[in-house]
Amino acid sequence: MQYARRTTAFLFNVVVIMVCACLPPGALAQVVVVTGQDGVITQLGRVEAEQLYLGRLNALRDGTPVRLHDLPPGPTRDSFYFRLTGKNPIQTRAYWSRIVFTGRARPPREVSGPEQLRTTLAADPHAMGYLPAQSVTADMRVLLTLD
Amino acid sequence: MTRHFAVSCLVVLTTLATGSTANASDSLHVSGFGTTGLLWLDTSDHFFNHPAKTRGRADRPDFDSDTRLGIQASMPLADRSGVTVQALFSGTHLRPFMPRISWAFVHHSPTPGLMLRAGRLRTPFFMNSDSMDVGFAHPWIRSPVEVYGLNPFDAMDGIDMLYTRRAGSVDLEFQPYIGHKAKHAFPDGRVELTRIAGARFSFAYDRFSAHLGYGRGKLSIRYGDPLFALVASQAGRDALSGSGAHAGFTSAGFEWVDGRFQLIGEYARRRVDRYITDADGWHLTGIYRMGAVSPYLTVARQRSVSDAAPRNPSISGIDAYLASRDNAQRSITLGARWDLHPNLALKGEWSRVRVGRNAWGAYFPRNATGATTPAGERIDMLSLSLDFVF
Repeated sequence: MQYARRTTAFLFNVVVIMVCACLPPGALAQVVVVTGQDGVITQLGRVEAEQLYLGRLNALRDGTPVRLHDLPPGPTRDSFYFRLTGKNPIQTRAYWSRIVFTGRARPPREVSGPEQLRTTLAADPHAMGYLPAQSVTADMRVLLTLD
Repeated sequence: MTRHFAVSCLVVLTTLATGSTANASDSLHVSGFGTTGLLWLDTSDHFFNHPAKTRGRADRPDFDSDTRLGIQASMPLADRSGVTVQALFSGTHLRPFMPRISWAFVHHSPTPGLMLRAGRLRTPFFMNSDSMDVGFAHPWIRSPVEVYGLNPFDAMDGIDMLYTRRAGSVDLEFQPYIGHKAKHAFPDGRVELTRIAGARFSFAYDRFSAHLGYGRGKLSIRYGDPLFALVASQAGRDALSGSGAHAGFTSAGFEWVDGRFQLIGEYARRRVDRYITDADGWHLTGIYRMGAVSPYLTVARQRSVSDAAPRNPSISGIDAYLASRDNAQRSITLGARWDLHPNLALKGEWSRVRVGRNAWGAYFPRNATGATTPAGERIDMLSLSLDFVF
């Protein structure tokens, strides 16, 4: 019985992932790139953000180290990558596996959700991440808005 | 000379990497990739024998041709430096899942967009050479053998520089490299490339990206198989194998991608002044995305431009000898990739291969001394794989 329930849950997940992959990832409100209010990153261009999240740059152009963070797989992450890089989730994952396993860059560190991102940004002045615009709190600095 | 230079660079990089202010908050990062693959041929006379991963025999169905596991550990030594090691477990002629070090380097980035690396690196001769074992990164079960079989050297000891730059709306990447040595062992012999030097250049603009690469080195090869013994007893060993040959690998490729369609093409050539064939290979792949499922079609061809040795008709066995060292073939492949989980892709593909009339293609006869060889054969292959990353 429990086995059947687990199988059903797995199949449901597979179907959800397939349906999500078919949908255009733009159906979400604004996504913003953020850092901590006390962080060292004060401004960020869209191109620079794209290059960081594609592993082409390993620091800001002026040399400031940056530690990138990803939300868990889901609509916000898919929407963020699609808006910033034009890649769908499947392309993004295939792309990053090539970047990581050819030693070009380390992937962004995955946080469990907006709350963990908030505490990470507060603790690390070099940390950067992204969120749905409505999840921004007063201790964050918005660097870039992706419509 | 190259070796001394490489060793000096390794020392300098290690010093720079460990000497900078160690302010790294990130620690050890372990990740991996793998493929579980099964391969069936419609004949029991031959087995699949990737020219870059030569093997002695294969089971039916063939489990270890595409099956592999890669484990990678990387650790920052400072904000701008780090060390990366990758071990690859895959089938060789010695045993299934033979472990080897595919990457092991220290790196240092003096400025953003510039990375210097020293140690064990993949030879980046062709467009996907450095990632061809990462099945999850690619649409196919295996990168087209007509192109990627031209280069048997998957890793070298040396240094390289990765320079990326944005110019207007174009992303450029330039990667010059030099290597001390790359080697590849096969069941009855080994081949080595030394004094390696080359560069690759790529650019990406909007949905289009392109790659150009050239690498060269001094090649030496040693054979020990029965066909070699037969021909060498008449022509002399030195006419068929030895050191001091020059090898060059050139490639040009492109990729065009939008939300639904993806087109990938590459042309590659190998030029060696003796012992192995001069050959050209190309492939063209079209991919159509339907949500999580991506069917694809690939046409590919490798042809030989010269023989591995002079075709002297008075030498007994020369035709079989030359055919066994000629990988010419053409193929059409129809397949599909299904991303059934963010870290998991299931693939299936069917290939119809026509081996060159005077070649063995990417196949080896089960009975190497028998009358049946792959030359001129039509072979159907069915492959299934599960690719994962973690």
